[in-house]
Amino acid sequence: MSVNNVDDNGNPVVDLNSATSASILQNMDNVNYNKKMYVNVMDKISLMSGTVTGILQYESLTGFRNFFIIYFGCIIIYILFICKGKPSRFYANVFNDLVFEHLVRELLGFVMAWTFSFALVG
Amino acid sequence: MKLLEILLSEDDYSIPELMLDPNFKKWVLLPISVMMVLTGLLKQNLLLLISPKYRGYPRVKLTESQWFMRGQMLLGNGTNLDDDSFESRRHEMINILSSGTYLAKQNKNNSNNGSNNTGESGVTNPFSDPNINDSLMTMAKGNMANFIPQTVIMWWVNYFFGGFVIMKLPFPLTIKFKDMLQNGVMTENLDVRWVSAISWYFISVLGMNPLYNLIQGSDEQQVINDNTTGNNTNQILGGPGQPAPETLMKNLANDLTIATRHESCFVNIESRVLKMYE
Repeated sequence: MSVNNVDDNGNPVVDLNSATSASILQNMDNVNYNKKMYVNVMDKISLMSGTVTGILQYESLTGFRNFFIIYFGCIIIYILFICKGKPSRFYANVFNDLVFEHLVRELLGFVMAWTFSFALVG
Repeated sequence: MKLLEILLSEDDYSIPELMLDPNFKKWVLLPISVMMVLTGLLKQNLLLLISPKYRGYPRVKLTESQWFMRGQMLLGNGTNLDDDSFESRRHEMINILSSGTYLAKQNKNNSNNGSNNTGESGVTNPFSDPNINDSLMTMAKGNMANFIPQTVIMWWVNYFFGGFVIMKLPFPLTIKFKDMLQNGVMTENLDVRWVSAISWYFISVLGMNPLYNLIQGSDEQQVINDNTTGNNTNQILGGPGQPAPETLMKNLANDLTIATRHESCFVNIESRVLKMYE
């Protein structure tokens, strides 16, 4: 998977504009596409981590701790490896788009998968 | 705070474990889950079917919106032009926007001798526009398609699977949840973690969105969202509740007038390109 504004090898396209201006040329279609890709990845991760947490029969705070470790760990990996350390090239508002916007959605997905697999295995 | 204390205490609230019939998993938990997934997929496809296939706008309206967007793009991406190009475009855009050359209302007045759907106050009546009526109807249908399946499934779960405990939650809850999650279960001292089928229904309703997204595919979901909420990439000016296009164009012309501090990306570009290859 890749985000837009990168070349075929996955390297971010050099933006001459960034040398003179703090604002980077961003197309909203690309930003929306990148957000959609990110949500797809995080949906898969939250459901899989919820299922694994339930299968391992983790309970209470241990399960929620699992979620937050995996969630924030994935964000860091995404920023470092997929965005090549420069998420502001691909997202209009990095903190909101990557961290806060989908937190509740992914937490609820995690809780559902966790509860389901916990009840099935237990 | 009380919930946090319970979470931290972990097993302090455990009472002697219940032994549930394993058939509950097969005949209660799985059917409810499958029904929830199928209902969600059915709902999404239904929304896709009832959404209008084509939403057209008059050409004058599109022209008006595109000139406004062109002004916005010049303001936002002007750093990619050199100073002369930016200045000439800026002046042209200021003239066009402030004079209202491409305003749809003006064109309509010219062609229809002033008979349009605006009242005396100049506010457009949203119900006289067939496109807005369509979008309102689509929203109403979308809401109906959302709550009718939910009501039916809730009734189905309560009718067939009410009155007994089916599962244990992996996290503790306060006693206040007991009435809701153990509805119909006549045991006063049972731990709140043991819950009835309706709790699994609630958890599923809240947490199914990621699963629907993965099963259905994001493209179709995007189509539904676009059709139901009317969020297109090409925003049409002058929708219900929005300022008049004329005002927006005047404001943009003012913004362009004061945008005199232009910083071009071509300044010192030779040295920066050479530095890349050093």
